[in-house]
Amino acid sequence: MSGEKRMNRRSFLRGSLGAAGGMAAVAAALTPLKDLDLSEMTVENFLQKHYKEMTPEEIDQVIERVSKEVEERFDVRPELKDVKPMDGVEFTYLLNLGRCIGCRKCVHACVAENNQSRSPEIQYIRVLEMPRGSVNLEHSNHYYGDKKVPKKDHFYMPVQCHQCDNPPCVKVCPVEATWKEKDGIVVIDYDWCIGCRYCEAACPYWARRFNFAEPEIPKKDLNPKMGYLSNRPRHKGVMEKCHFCLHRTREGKLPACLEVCPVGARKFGNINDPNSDVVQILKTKRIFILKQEVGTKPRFFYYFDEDYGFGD
Amino acid sequence: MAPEQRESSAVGRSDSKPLNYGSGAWFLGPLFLLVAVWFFLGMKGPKLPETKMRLINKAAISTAPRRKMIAVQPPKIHINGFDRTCNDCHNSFKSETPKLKGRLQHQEITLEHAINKTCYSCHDKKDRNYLVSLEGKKIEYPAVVQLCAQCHVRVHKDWVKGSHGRSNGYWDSSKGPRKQLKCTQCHDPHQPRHPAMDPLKPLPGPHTLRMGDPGETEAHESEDVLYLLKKRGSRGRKHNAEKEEKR
Ligand code: HEC
Ligand code: HEC
Ligand code: HEC
Ligand code: HEC
Repeated sequence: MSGEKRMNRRSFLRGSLGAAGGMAAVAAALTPLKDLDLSEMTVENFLQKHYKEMTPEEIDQVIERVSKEVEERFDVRPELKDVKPMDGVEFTYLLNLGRCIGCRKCVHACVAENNQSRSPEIQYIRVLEMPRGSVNLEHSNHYYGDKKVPKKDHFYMPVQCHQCDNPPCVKVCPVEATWKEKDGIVVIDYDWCIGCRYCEAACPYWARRFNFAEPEIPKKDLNPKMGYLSNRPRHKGVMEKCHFCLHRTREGKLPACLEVCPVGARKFGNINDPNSDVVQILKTKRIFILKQEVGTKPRFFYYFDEDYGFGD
Repeated sequence: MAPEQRESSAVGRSDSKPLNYGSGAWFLGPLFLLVAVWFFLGMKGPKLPETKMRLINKAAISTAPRRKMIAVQPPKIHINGFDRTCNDCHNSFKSETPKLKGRLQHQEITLEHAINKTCYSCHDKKDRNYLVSLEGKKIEYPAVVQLCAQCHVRVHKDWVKGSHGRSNGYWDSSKGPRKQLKCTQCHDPHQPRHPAMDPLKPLPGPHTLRMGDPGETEAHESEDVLYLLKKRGSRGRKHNAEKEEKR
């Protein structure tokens, strides 16, 4: 629809580089462009169309090119797919705050599943430790290194991308490298991202991560089951974030973070299915939204079980 | 050099003094050039910590449940080096007064479960291969949920709904199986409180994880949270409020 208005990545680069030549201040503001390593761009990569404009054949070609790149870089032939949203499915994620004990298994399972950089380390999920009483992020700590969790009189709040229905990160992207899909997942095309980091600044949940350096993953630890818009390996200079494990969830599976949760605090499902657990929980439990006042309409909720009395 | 000159005249104007291009302001051009160079040099981005490659501990993120429950009937346990059913031993002697201390067998079991003060509130006295209900009916080991549900009515309801406990596999049952964990895959029936755990490591520092200023934001309980559901005409929380009134 915004075919003409859509700023194309190349014209954006040209325009801003010109300005940068002129004024030092502008140049400083465009710092991230320097991190964009043009030497790594191949001709095909540079001429690639926007994801949403590609025909199925063109996507196949891109999948083939990316697979080759991954194979060269990691000596592993990936099972790379472009997994599309399922019809009639919209996802939602619920987290039981009364259960989470802050063990960070979800954080690490996510890194393993989604091929995040091990050096420098990137993690999508951040677990906040807070004193009991109120949910006040001002008193939160996400570097806690206690011997045992849960710590007395503390509770834990994992935060990851909330896949907002009204996503500010998408609005600020100058090149439309990030967008919301029909199942509610906000995705990033790493081939299209220019690393300006506007989305990172716009996100009220600090959910987006930037590759400041070339990400390193031991070859044997690479997860070869990959999605084009999800966990294929990234390069230096692009953004990434949680995508509800779309290469799993769009094939009916549960997200990796949920599968390892030892206390069963994580719930995931299709909000269009009235019999799903997530809908049952949404209807009957006390639900909390983090930073509701910013109005981004997240798809990620927190909830509590009722206090069970004796004889529960 | 046009930009630098534009800049310098702007500085002059903000001083609101008449400018003398010929003498005093000659150094402004080179100065701004220096500033420009400085900006460019500063453009490398933040310094990254020297990190060693930290590998993922595969065992720590296994999807296996915390406990292995007895999932066969008759129940088999590995005891004194053999696989035996309970009755392999218990049929050969009668013991109907359970010792909570100084037991000759099963010494590793400590019972700390509220009103369950004897072994027989769960184990059948006569037929040790079965669990037993409060009314004395036999319960098979794989059906242990029935045993717990008698007393933990509301937790059990939540478990059925999917709010308590965990399911693994597929959320979409048309695509593959979904395995719901049973009570004893997380709770030891004899000491049911969930034990504390060692947490895995956080990131080494704020470098790769911009924290932002958390400010005074709080999470609020929301009356309006069900916008996603409301779109589809669900009664949502109102339903809950009605329930509250009835109580
Ligand atoms: C190797 C033989 C052996 C096996 C197998 C065995 N038990 Fe026992 N069990 C004993 C002995 C011996 C005692 C009596 C201990 C005492 O009185 O000090 C006992 C005691 C008990 C008691 C305490 C009450 C009582 O009768 O004294 C319970 C309950 C019990 N067993 C349950 C089980 C269950 C359930 C199984 C199967 C899952 C099982 N046992 C398997 C040998 C066995
Ligand atoms: C709250 C109910 C409950 C009570 C009370 C209880 N048990 Fe059990 N017990 C179970 C259940 C359920 C299992 C099956 C556990 C599993 O599947 O992991 C079990 C398993 C066992 C086993 C075999 C597995 C193992 O852990 O070695 C033994 C032996 C046993 N109980 C002995 C006892 C003894 C002795 C007592 C009394 C001191 C006792 N139990 C009290 C519920 C109970
Ligand atoms: C005879 C009734 C009864 C049965 C059967 C029973 N429980 Fe309990 N359980 C209790 C009571 C009473 C409490 C204490 C509740 C409280 O403190 O509010 C309790 C507490 C618990 C707790 C909380 C422990 C804590 O310290 O936080 C767990 C978990 C639990 N039971 C699990 C189970 C499981 C799993 C089973 C089935 C193997 C089971 N219970 C069977 C009566 C029972
Ligand atoms: C995925 C693991 C898991 C499963 C499966 C599970 N629970 Fe729990 N349960 C927990 C955790 C974690 C807690 C909170 C920690 C604690 O209090 O021990 C808990 C707490 C409880 C409590 C204490 C009440 C409360 O809210 O703190 C009861 C009672 C209980 N569970 C009973 C059951 C029963 C009955 C079942 C089976 C129908 C079951 N649980 C299945 C993990 C599990």
